[in-house]
Amino acid sequence: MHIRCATTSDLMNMQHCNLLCLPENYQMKYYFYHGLSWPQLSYVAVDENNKICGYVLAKMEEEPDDIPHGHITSLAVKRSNRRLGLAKKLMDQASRAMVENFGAKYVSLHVRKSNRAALALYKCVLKFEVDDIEPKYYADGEDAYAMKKDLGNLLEQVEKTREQLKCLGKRSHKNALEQRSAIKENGKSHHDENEEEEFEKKIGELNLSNVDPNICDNLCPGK
Amino acid sequence: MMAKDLPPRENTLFKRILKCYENKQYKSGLKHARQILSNSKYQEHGETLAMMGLTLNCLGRKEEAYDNVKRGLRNNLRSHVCWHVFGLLQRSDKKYEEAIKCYRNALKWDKDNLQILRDLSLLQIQTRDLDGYKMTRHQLLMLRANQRAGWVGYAIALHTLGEYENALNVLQTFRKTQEGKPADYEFSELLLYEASIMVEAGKFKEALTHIYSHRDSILDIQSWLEMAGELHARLGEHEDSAEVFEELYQRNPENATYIESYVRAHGHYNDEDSLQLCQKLHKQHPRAEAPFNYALKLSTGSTFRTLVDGYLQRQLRKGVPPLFNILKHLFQDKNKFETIKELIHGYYTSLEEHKKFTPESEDEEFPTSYLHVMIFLAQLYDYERDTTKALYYIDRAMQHTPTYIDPYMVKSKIYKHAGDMTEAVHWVDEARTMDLADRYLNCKAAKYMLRAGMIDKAEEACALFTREGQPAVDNLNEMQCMWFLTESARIYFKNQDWANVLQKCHEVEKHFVDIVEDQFDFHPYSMRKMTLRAYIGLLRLEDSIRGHQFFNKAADYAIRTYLHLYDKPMSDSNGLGNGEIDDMTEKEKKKLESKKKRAAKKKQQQKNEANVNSNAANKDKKQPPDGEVAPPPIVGNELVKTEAPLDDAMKFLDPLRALSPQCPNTHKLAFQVFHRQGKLLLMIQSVKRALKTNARTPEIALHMTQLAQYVKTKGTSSGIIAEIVKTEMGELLPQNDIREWLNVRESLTGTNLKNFFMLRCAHAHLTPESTAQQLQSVLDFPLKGSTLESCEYVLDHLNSEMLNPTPEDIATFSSSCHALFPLATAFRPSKPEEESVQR
Repeated sequence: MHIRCATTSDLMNMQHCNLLCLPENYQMKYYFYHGLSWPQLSYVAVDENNKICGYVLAKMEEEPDDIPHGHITSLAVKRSNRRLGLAKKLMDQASRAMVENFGAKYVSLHVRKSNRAALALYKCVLKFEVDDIEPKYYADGEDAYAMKKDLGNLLEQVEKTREQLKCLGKRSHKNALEQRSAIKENGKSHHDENEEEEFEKKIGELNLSNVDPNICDNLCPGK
Repeated sequence: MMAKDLPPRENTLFKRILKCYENKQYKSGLKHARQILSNSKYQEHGETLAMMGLTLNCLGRKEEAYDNVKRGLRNNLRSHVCWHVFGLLQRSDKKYEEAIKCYRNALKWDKDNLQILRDLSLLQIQTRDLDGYKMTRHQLLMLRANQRAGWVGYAIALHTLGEYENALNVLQTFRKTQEGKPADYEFSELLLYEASIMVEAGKFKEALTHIYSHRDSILDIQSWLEMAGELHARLGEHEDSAEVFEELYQRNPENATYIESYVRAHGHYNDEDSLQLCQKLHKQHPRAEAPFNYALKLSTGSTFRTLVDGYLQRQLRKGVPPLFNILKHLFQDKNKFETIKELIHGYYTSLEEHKKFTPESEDEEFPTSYLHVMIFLAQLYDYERDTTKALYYIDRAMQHTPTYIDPYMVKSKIYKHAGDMTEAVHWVDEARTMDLADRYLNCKAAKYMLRAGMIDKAEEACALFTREGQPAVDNLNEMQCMWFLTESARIYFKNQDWANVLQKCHEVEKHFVDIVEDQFDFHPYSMRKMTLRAYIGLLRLEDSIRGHQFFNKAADYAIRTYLHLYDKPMSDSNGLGNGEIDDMTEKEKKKLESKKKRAAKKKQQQKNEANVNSNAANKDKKQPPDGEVAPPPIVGNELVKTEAPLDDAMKFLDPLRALSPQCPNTHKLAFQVFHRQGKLLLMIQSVKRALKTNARTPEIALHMTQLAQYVKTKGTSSGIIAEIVKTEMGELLPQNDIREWLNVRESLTGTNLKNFFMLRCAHAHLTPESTAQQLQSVLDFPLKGSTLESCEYVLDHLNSEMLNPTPEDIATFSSSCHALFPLATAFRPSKPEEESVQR
């Protein structure tokens, strides 16, 4: 068993796995939507033949006034692969990715009121709590429990990792590191000057000469 | 857009039409358009007519839409609005090439129109007109250098063309304007996109420097680490690589790639040292599966025995259902298989006597350990196809705990492997009814039912999990469920129900068309979101999407059906020529009768389906924005009436040849199509590729013979093609002696049943007088050691190939197979089929 972040080429097989395991299904476009909006958040568990045994399809809820939080769209493990703890392992990876990439404060999900097995998994193993009941959430009229799990504890861990990252690659990338600190101290390094020259040259090469590079300073609408 | 030739009042109205179109208020838009047109001076006003047409299109009134747009265009051929609108209309009908032409015309009259340029660029990337895309993106950048999308779009265009250097220049130029801003997700993605291009361009050193110097701005720690680890390794900086992969392993100990990369970074090519590293990792995360499984892969002999002994006991005690599947890949090593088998047998005996895994063990086990040992034993014997022993142990397990579902699944699988799908369905259905809320069990059962030919029962089972008030098949199709389609196609093919095979295969193909279509909205979307690595991944995935196994399966059934339709064209609606009916035995006639009944029932069903579909189409009409009307439903009964089956087959064959050249089946199918088309060069190519992908593919014997015969009898005698054929055949058949070639092939592959059979067919093709003799040697072939699959294959092909067997000959062969596979339904003597289907 091998757990890794899902790539675009996994999405079709995730759909297949979903159709085998769960009653809530989605068209491919919805999987693409996840894969192209939050490529870091979905994970798959695959076997020796790279066949999907389980997956978590996750997203961010991105309403501007709301606290940033993740949401589990779908989580499935094939019945034939139970008791390996795959659900938890998949969820742990997805949760951390939510914090690292999008600053999620908590993660939410929905579960059918009648699905006691899933409810037990979320409560006891994954430590989710029931937050609310959403009446008639499902197409067939069944209610859903809206569940939540706080990710505050991960935040610390992520900060720690970022610190640790700074100690990596010292042997071969001493130069890069030194350059970096030089930039911090002097505000400008040789590297930068070279880049400036290069920059002029590149502009010429690209036939972008009638473009004013300074114009880019007020870029990005909506930012 | 702006109508220059209207007076103020009409101009205001025209602007309102545009506004209404944007806001999807189509009814009001129409009203305003009519107001302008009611003025006799402007009743032929081109741009108004065009906009009216576009609005009508959104209301689903396609015909009127085209009328108006075309009339508008005729009245004002110099209007960019009219051309743009015509382009949008064609786009909504997916006529992309036509739409591109329209946009180009529109740009002739307004060359810097941003909206038209953007629309054009979307179609160019959608249709992969990469050079055109690059030009358009360049122009957009020139026009709007202050927009991020301009820079990113141009960089993507360059990247997709492989112009890495230029793409990097554009990105770096843009990035320079962004530095100093607080790090956010989008900037982080941009940096990683840049790095990914560097990696693709082979600039490893540069990529590594890039990610190190932007370490603080990259939020995606995991991608950062993965890239760093890989780049260090590529640059030979193994210590750093190992350090990074160890960090990755700590984050996710279940990732086999991290473990392998970590071990590789230590430069240990000897398994002993690697094993130690692996065990070191395992100690850090004792509960992780991946490092342990890797250790099992690396170890041998007594080390393996000790490791696997502990592992098996732990997992059997815990009761891990996938245990057998996890270990299965180790069985290729015969010694490992034997070790495991021996250990399990030991546990079994010891548990029976002492309730312990070994007599020396300290603690007694719970009864569940014993249960799981018995299940595992059954699976081991099933793996060896020792059906009797497998059934013995699984029955004991079921007696031990009749309420445990897993043994029922195992038992079902044992019967499936033994060739008795009816019995397999019985047991999987038992399992299904024990937990009706589990869709996985439901799907497994439905799949087996389809294999056993119980189509209605399978649909009934599936309906438990599909939306109420809609036939299960329709709902599955709506959700793009492919396995049900390919499994249906399989059974229809077996039943020679050609219309339904084509129906199902074309439905699969339609899903692929839709999935390719899906990317359209993501072109602008990904550029906004900046998830460019994923976007490039999407573009590449879509380019090869028909390489997916679902497409391969559908293509296989479809092409074989078309080949059949070519060889035996339909002369009545039931799919059999009248001439054939006379040759049929009583049994076959009965079969045909029941098939006719089924077909009639299916027809009625399809009618209903068609109604449902047209209802759906009506619903779609109400759905803006681009006025898409659902395409006509796929009707197998129409498809099967084709006059040009081989041309139709190309729709499935072309993607196979382009995207699945590694599958021997692709070239097998290709040869059969090209042979019938008389395309000599492509026949040669197919045989060559078949030999290259897997020289042992049985059909090659026949195809090579057919090719040699074709060259001899129908080959071109002069010209450049004759030259090429001569050279190529010289390589394929150096002695120009097909008999000798077949003899050599026989000495290499002739001990295998399928190969032996195809060699006989080849000889019969070459020397028709020898047919009886060839047939006899097939009947005399010692079957022992042959697989069930190959026996079924030969039985299937005995009829269709050229060995001319009598029914008695077939019965002889079948009974030899029956002796070897007593449970397999395919070989059961004279048992009426109906009985077996109904259990």
